[in-house]
Amino acid sequence: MRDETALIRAAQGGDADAFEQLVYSYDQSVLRLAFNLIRSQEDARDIYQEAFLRVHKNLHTFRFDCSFHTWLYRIVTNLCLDHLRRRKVRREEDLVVQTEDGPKDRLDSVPETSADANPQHRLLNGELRRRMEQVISELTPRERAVFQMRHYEGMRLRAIGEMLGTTEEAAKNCLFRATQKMRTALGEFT
Amino acid sequence: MNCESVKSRLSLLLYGELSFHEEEQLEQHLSECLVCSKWMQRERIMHAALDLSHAEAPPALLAQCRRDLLAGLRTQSEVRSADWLGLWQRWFTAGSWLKPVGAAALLAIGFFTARLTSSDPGFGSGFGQAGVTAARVKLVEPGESGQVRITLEETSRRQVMGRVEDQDIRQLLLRAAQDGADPGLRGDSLDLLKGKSEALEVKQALQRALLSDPNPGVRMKALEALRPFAGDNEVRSVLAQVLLKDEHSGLRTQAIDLLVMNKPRDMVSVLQELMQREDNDYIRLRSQRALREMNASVETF
Repeated sequence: MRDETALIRAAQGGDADAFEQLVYSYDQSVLRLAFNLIRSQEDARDIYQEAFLRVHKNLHTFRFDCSFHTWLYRIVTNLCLDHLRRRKVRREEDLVVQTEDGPKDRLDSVPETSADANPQHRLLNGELRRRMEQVISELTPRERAVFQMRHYEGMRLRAIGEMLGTTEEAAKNCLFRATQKMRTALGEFT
Repeated sequence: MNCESVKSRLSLLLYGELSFHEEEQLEQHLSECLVCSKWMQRERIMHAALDLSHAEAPPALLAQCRRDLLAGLRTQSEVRSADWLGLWQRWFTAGSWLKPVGAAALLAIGFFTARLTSSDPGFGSGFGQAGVTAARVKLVEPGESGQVRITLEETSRRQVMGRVEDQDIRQLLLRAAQDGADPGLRGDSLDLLKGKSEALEVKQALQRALLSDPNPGVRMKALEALRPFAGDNEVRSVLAQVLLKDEHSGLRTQAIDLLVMNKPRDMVSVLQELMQREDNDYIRLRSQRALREMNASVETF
């Protein structure tokens, strides 16, 4: 198997197999990030498509000034942030949406991850999840992105700052505000 | 360092984002201040609770995305080719002296466009082709009288129908469950197989997927399918490995919930080992509680 630098150079030279391998190396985490940030399968699919089309179109401009991972995630997070900002304006963040079959809770489409068979725990988990989804949806797009990348993707704040085109300190402040809001909102559960 | 500034840094401490010096100061304060150490406990619980909100993208969605991307890339190639074609056509009508040059260029463009849009030899071999037969150039060599000999490798598609109980169908599903390139296909295959998980080969495939599939969504499906067998020794041993080794906290959470259901004495050493290496607070709490309920030491000495 070729190393990543060789793959990128080959893909820059038009080797479509190399590009395919690059996509396969990163697309699961790209989709997971978009899905968790946007919380909509359809929109995450659009972000995935747009991100990799941009990568394909602009790969020749990649100069190895940063890692490919950082470059790719910068594209993905920018697309997600733009999307979240637009959605904020359109006020589509409500947890309950109107469908043909009547009002539907968006959380119902998010799979339950706990295996706890205790109904009381399930209820509590359900309520907690609902509250968390609510508070996450109320974070600013930037706070949401930083929180998501730090808490769920396990990225360091320095790398997050680099991806978002800001400093480590600014990313730290974003994370601080996000956790502060959550602490306030989830106080009664802890 | 006062209590307020400690409180404001607790989450950063848990994320490991404080400097060595700050961390030392904070730890020192926490060891002396009961109020702040209670805040720390609450902060840990909140961190663990936040894991509940993490959703894994369904494997079928990934497969769909890859198909869309292939189509998108083809369109992009076609648009680029069409742009070039337009440019050359304008050239072609510009003057009669240019016609021979333009004709040669259009011929070349036609050749390359056909290569890009019809066979698309590169991107897409693993993403699935729209046509019935996918061809790939395997070998090229000079032939006689100035010709070239090209060896193509072709894959034909056909459909087979049958029930999961049918041996042939089951074998195909088992093979698809290990398809290295497509997690969507692996997940769908496990979904279809899980109704037959009492069959030894299916159970083994599920255990294999749970232990080694690179996609956490697929591993989650395998774990769900193995849930009815959480009492089997073999399955429990696999769950213990997941608990100790899987990097995905959602899976470890599921694994510990299943493992501690019956207060298993044989899992004491696993849980003790877990207490030494686990970062997730929910899992640690579950493990700690299970050990206490079994009157076992929380730590190993």
